[in-house]
Amino acid sequence: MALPQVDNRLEAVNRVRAHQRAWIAETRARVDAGEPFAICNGDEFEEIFIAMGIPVLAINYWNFLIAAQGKTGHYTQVLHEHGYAGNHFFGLALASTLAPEEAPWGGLPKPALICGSIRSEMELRVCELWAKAYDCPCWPLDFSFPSASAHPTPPDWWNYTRDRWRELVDPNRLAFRIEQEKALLAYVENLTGRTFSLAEMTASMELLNEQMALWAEAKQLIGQTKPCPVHVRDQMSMYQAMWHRGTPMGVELIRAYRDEIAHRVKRGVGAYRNERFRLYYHVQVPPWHEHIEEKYGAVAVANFYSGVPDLYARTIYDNDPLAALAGRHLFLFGFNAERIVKEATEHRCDAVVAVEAFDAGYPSRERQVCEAAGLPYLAVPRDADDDEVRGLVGRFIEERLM
Amino acid sequence: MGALEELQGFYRQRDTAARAWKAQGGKVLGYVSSSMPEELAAAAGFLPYRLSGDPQAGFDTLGRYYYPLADKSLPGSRVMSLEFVNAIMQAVFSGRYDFLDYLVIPYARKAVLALYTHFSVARAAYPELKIPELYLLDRTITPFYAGGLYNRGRILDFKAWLEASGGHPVTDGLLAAAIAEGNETRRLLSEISALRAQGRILGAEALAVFGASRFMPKATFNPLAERAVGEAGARTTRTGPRLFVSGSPLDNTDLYALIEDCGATVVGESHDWGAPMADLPLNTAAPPLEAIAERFHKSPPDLIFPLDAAVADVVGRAKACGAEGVVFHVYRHDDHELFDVPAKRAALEAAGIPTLYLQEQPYRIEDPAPVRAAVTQFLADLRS
Repeated sequence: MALPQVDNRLEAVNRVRAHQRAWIAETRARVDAGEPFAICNGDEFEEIFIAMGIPVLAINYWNFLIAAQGKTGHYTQVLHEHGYAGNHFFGLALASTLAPEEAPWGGLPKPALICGSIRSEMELRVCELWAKAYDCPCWPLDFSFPSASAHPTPPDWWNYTRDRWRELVDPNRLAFRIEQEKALLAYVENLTGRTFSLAEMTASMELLNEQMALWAEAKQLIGQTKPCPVHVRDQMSMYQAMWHRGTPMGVELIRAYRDEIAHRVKRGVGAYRNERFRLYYHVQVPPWHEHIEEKYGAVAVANFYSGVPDLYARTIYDNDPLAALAGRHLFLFGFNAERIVKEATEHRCDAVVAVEAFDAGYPSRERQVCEAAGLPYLAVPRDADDDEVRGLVGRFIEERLM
Repeated sequence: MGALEELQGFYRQRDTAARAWKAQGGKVLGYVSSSMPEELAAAAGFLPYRLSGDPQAGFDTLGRYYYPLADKSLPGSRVMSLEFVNAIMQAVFSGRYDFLDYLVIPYARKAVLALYTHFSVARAAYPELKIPELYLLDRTITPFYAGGLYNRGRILDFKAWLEASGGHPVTDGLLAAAIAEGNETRRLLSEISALRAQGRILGAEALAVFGASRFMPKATFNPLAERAVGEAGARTTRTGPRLFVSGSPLDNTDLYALIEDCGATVVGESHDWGAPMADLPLNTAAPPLEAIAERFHKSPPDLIFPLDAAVADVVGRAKACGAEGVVFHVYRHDDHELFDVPAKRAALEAAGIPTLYLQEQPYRIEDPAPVRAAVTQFLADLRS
């Protein structure tokens, strides 16, 4: 029997990582030369900074980088030393400015402003404190995603996000958010001396839509192909291209990703050594992944983020890209169980694993919907690799899949 | 029975007045959090009634009616653990609020806003729960002018909804009468605050009076509160350290009783079950509906933006009531409060007011010993 062709790391991933590191260095040099730089909470206002030619850092990218470098403990301790109790992933970036000695890649340059968020009250406070640490302004925006709304969401909301996005948002909130973003835009123009161009914004949005369409093609290849051509870890690593959405480089990075996957598919190259069962994991990369791959040939080919990139695309109406963008800032995606079935099915998964931290013995809606769709469903109590979770996953595979 | 005692009875038996109102054919409009424009609901003929949790009730219904339906993604899990909010769900699911005709959820904080979704899905999935019809009263968190226009629009929407939901037409005359009554309640609550600052009324008693004002018709509350003010004014003054409480909202008197059992008096607070209820009397010179909209916009949600304003708020309130020390009491998972506390502590201590930080506290004080020990030590430090 011929051995399977396995290639665990995509060149596209190496490239996006290298680009990201170079981007930080280049941004630092530009700031040193007097150019503005912005920090922005994710899915708030980044595209407008990008369209204005202002380099922008999405906060959670920096938090993930700190975590990936194994500095969560150190920076949690820094937060504690400054009086902030508890464990707060979102606060790690603030901590890296309060104690910059161990900040990733030499730390961030000083921003001209921080675009805060009312995604949660804590995130707003962290943004304010961070702005104080940098002695720069903090500008919050209301109704950031996700915010519960009385506006109804159709169960198949993903069929609306691209072209029928106006049906997904509360019209009052949309009108207000557009005005708020215009006010921020004017402030940024005053602050930085840069000017906003509707034509450049439209062009950037079109690039974004192109990038997300390529990402959707990549996802389709991953989902349809056995063996799975891209390790879920690499799928998540490619997410860094999200921080350059709406730029030619963003398109180029994802086009290369799509092309490399297509090449793998053509050659029958898989990303896993042992792929017998395909799982959907409703978080990111299962921490117990190596264990189940080795022992059972079970691999996670999809997760919560697998189908997210193409949900960023929005059709522009009435030559108003700001409205389309503001609409997306209010509704990026829904959280219903039907979406799990959609992604798991599109990735030809054999089962779904989700974290249910509060399982009191009653079947969750996720369980009911997945099982009704013929997808065996397992709830684990936490996103961790320990004996209890390994035991649950192992028994589930043995009893439901083997 | 004295009026103060009677009001505390309405606080302990929080449904007494609402059930009586209901028994007489009235409609009860429940709401969560403090920024509700009660006058608008009252002018439409409803009894506005603020929901609260019960630390002793546990959370056993959540396993069946909340967690199975709650979003399992990471963003969703952020708001699943705030016990004082979960306690409100427990109360609704267990039938404690079976007398409500409607339930208004305001955007006070994300965890409160999320109640709209939680109750909506539970209402659809479990009709036997008899969750009342829901209304989301939206607002901005930012305090700026543009938000004021947005919030005014939501007040107009709310008025229309009240009128279409069994309320009678909200005329300027009815609204002006409700505003006068609400302003009188605020005046009386300010009197209670002043008496507390004089040491004539305990913090726990004051907190009960503040809370009772949200559980009963103002027409019943105001005369009782007037008498309570008279009774308290005749009391001798209590001596001992004067403490101010800040941090998470406290819908019960357990912490105050514990602090006051240690010999201190809670002379003020910044959380929204206490003295802030007396703030911002409505402008009677303005058209009534505009006055409602103005107060709705000016009364802060659970987070005051910017942080500097939140810091100034606490420092100002603590100074105004002559506090000798401030106790920060923050529930576990009350994340924005814990990012507020260091700046507030620094400002207070710079103003010469020592602070004690009780962090990551449970909603129910199961073991009072650690809090008692910390407060006792704090009081000893204040005296030294």
